[in-house]
Amino acid sequence: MSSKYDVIIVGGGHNGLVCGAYMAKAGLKTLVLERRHIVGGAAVTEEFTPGFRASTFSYIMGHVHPKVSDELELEKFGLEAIPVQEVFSPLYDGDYIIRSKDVKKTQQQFARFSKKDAEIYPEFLKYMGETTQILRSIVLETPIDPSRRDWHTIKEAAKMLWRYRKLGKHFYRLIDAVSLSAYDFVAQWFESDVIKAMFCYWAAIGTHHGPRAPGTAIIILYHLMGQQRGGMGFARGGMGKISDAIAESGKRYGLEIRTSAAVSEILVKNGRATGVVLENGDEYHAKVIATNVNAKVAFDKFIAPEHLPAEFLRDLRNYRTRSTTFKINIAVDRAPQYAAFDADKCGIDYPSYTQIALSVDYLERAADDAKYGWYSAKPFMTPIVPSMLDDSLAPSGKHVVTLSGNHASYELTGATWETERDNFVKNVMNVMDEFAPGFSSSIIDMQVLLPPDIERILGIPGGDPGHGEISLDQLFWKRPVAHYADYRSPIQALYQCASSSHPGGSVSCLPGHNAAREILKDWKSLKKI
Amino acid sequence: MKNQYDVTIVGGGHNGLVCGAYMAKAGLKTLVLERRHIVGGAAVTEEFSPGFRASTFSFIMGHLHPKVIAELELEKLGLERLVVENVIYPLYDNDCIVFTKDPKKNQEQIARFSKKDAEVYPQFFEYLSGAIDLLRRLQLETPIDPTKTDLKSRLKTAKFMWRYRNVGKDFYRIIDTLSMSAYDYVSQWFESDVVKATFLYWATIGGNVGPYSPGTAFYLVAHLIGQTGMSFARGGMGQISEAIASSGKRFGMEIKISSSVEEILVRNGRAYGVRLGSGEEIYSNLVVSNVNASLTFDVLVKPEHLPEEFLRDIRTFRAKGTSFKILCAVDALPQYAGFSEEKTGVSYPAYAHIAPTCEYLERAYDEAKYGWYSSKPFLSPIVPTYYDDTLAPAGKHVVTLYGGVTPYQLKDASWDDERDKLVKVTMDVMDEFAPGFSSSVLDYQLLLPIDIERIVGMPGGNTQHGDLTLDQMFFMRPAPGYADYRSPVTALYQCGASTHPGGAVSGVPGHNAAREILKDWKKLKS
Repeated sequence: MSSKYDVIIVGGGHNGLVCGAYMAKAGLKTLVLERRHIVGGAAVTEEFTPGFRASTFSYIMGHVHPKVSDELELEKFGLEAIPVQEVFSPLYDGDYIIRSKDVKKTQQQFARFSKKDAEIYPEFLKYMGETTQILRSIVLETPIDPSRRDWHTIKEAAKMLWRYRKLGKHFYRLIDAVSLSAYDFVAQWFESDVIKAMFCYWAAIGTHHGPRAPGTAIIILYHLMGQQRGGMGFARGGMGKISDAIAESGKRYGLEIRTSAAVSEILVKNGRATGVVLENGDEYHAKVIATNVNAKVAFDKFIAPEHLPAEFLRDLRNYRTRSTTFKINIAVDRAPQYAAFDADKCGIDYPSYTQIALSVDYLERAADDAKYGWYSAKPFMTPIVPSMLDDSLAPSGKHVVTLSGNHASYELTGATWETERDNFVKNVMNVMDEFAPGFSSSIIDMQVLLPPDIERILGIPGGDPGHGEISLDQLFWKRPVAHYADYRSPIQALYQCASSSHPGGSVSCLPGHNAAREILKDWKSLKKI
Repeated sequence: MKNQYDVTIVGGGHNGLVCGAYMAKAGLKTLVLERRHIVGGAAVTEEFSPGFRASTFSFIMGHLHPKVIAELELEKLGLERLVVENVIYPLYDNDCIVFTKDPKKNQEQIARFSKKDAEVYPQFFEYLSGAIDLLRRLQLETPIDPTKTDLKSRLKTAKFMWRYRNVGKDFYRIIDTLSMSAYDYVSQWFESDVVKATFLYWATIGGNVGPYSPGTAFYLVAHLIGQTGMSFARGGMGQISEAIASSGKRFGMEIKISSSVEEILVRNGRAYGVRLGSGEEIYSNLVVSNVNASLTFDVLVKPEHLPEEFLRDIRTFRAKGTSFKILCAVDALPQYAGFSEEKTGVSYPAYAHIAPTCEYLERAYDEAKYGWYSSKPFLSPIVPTYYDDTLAPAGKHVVTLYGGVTPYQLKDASWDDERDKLVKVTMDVMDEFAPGFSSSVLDYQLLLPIDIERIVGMPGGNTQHGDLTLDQMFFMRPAPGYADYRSPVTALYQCGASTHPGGAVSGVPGHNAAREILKDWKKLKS
C-alpha cells in the first residue's frame, strides 16, 4: 500500500469521516487516521459494561443534515432514525408536563399552567421555525471575512449579501438570538415559569452558563435546528451507527481508514503541509491535510509554532472550550419509574425521553454552583432510556439509562475530582431518586464521564461537547478564530473540518461537508505540486 | 402666536437641552418642557440635607462629548472640569491598589501583584485603542437600517460601509467585547485576581449582569469611550445642565419647568404639539421627546397612532435598574485602612471602588438574580468635596456611594421594609474598608431604582436608560427601524438616552437627533 495520498484526514470523528467520504467521492485518494480503536469520535456506540451498549457521548441524531444524509446515502448504509414524539418533565408536587410533536397536545399541557402560554405557542413555533430556517441556510455557508479588502473577499461578501437580501427584519431576530439571555427571550413569549424553564433547558444543557446569561437564546435555536427530518430522534444501534454508515459510504469510493493510528505531528515544509507522522514513527504524505481535531489542539500540539503567526496562536489559545457537562451511562435492571408518570393520564406508554428542569431558578442555581469551581448540589439532567425503543442495546428485560446534564466544573476549587467524584454522583442519584423513586437501587453498573474524562478519551479540550462555546465571538467568521473561519489555515494545504469550525458542535456533519467543498475548490491548484 | 413653536422638546434632561440648544442655534423657535422644578434630568445638583449638595444621580463628567462642549461653548458659560487625580481599590488584609494618570506608576502598583500583568498593562490599552477610536466614531453616527431596501436607505448603508471600509481587525475586536464576559476578556491579558477585579468594576456597575456574564466586556470598553477622562464638574453635574441651558437661552431657547407633558398630540399620523398636565396645549411644527422611549410611546402617544410591532418592540426594551445611590453628609473624610501615602504616592484618594475580588462582584449579582439585594454590595465611594468646596459647609464633606446590586423589585418582600437593611449592609462594607465611616455620617438619602424611576422618570430606574446589549444598540436602539432618532409618527423625534449611543452624560443623543431634525426641517416647516 502506498503511503502517498491526495488527502489525509487527521481524526476519524464523524466530521472527519464526512469530509473524507466527500473527498473519496470526488475521486481523491483519501486516508482517515483515528487515534482510538473505533471511528466516530463523540458519535460512537460502545459496550460500557458486559452486555450493555450505549451512545457513549452524543445521543441525538436529529442534527444530521439531510443534505449530507442524502448525498452520502446514509440510509442505504444502515442508518435508521427512531423518532421521539414526547419529552416528559417531572415537576414538584407530583406534577409533570409533556411537550409533544403534536402541537394541539402540547397546548393542552401548557393550558394547565397558563392559558395565555397555550394560545401563543403556535405563534412562538412559527417565529422559531422562520428563524431556524435562516440559520439552516447560514450553517451551509463558508464564513466570509469582512475585514479583508481583496477583490475575491469583496466578491464573496457581495454574493452573500445578495443571497440574504430578502432577510429584511429577520436580520434583527438573529441579533436578538445572539444577544438575549434564554430567559429574556422566552419571557417575551411565556408567563408560566414551568414553560419558561422547559425552553431555557435547551439553552442550559451542554453549556456552562445559566439561562440568565446574555447570548444564550441562540442555543435554543441550535437545539431546534437539531430537529431535522423526523425531528429529535435516536439512531437505531446508537450514535455509532451514524459514523459507521458514513465510513461505509466513503469506503465504497475507496476511502481508507486506519484506527489506533495516533498522529503526533503535521509535517510542514516551506509553509505548506506535506504529511503527518504517527506516534509509532510512521510517516504518511499527502497533497492536502485536513484536521478534524479541535483547532486548539491541532495547531498547538501537532504543528511547530514557528510555522504559525503569533497572533493566530494567541487567538486560538483564547478560544474558549470549557465544559461543565457530564454524562453517566447506566445499566439497570428496570426502567426508571417516575412518580409523576401515569400512562393513562399522560397518554403515552413510557417516557423514554425525560428532562428534569423544575424551574428557571433551579437551572440558574445549578450553574451558580459550578461558576466558582464546584458542582451542582442539584444538577439538572436528561434521563433517556434508549433500550425502550431499541432492543439491540441491553439484554432482554434489562435497560440502559443515560443521564446527561450539568454542572460539573472541569476543575474544582480546593479539591480534586478523585475525591469528589462519588459525592457528585450521589447528588445526581438523589435527584433521580426524588423523581423516580428506587432508581439508584436498580443500578447494575455505570460509567461516569466528567469533563476531564471526555477530554482524555476524545481529545476535545476541556471536554466541551460543543467544541467551543457558542457565543458571538466564536461563531461564523470568528470560529475558531478571525481570518481562518473558511476552513483554511495559515498553512497552505492544511484545512480544518472539525466542530471548532463553523457551524460548530453537534452531530450535524456540516463542518466536514463545508470543508470538503472548500478543499475541492482549491484542489486544482493544490494537486499540481 | 403664543403657544406656537417650531420645536417642542418633551423633557429637560441634558440631552433635551442639548437638542434644544442646537435647534435654537439654527434659528428655530424652541421650547423645552420639564416636569420637575429644575432642568437636567439625571444631571442635577441638589441639596439633599441642609447645607450639603451633591450630584443626585450621575456624577462623572468625562463622557460629555468635546464636540458638544465646543459647539455650545459650555466652558464660556460656566462649565469647569475638575480632574480626578486617582482611583483607589481598597483590598482585603489592609492593602490597596491606586491608579493615577501616570501609566508608569500604575505599572508599579500592578507589579506588587504580578510582574507579568505590569508588563502587559500598556499593551492592553494599546490593543483597545483601535476599538475605542472606532466606537468614538460610531457614537456620532446616525444608525443605519440595513433591512430597509428603498434606494435612500441603501445609499445610506452603502455610504456608511464605505466610511468604515478600513476598520479591518477592529471590527472583530468590537465583536469580542459584545460577546465576551468582562472576566474572560481581561483574563486574556492579566493573571492576578486583584488586577482583574479593578477592571471588572467598570463592567458591572449599572448593568443587570455580573462580570462573568457574556457581553460585559463591552461595558468595560464603554467606560473608556469618554474623551475627557475621569472628571467632575465644579458645582456638581447640575452645572453641565445649567451651562447647556444658558447656551440655548442665548439663542432664544425657552424653558418651562414644572410643566409635565401628559400627551403628545397626533393628527393624521403627524405630531403637532403637546398637552400639559394643566390642560394647556402647546403647538409646534415638530415634537422631540427626550423621555425614555417606553414612556414616550407607551404613555405619551396614544397606541392607535403606532404600529403594533413597534409597540411590542418598545415594550420588550429591557431597562431594569440594578444600582443604588446613597448621598451622605459626613463630618470626616473616609479613611481607608489599606491606604498610605507612602505605598501609593498619592495624598488622598477621593474616588474609590470597593470590590476586592472578581468573585465579590459576581456574588453581589448572584443574589440580585433571584430578587434580593447583595449582602455585600460593591461600592463607589466618592468625595466630590475633596475637589470642590462649593458643596458642603467648611470642614464637612459629601460622600456619595454608588453601588449594586439592588433589583428593581424584591422577591416576596417590599422595599419599604428593606431600605434600612440595605443601608446597614452598605455601611458594614464601608466600615470594613474605611473603619469609622458610619459614625461620621450626619445625614443621608438613599436612592433605589424605584426612587430613580419616580423622581427622574427613567423606567426601571436603569441608569443607562436600557441595558447596553447588542440587541439594544445602534440600529436596534430603542427599536429596529426607528434608531435614526425618528419614530413611526411624522414630526415626532427622539433625543433621549434610550437612543444611540445610550446612557451617560455625553450629550450625544441630543446632538445626533438635532442633526437629523435639521435635515428634515425644510420639509417639516411647511
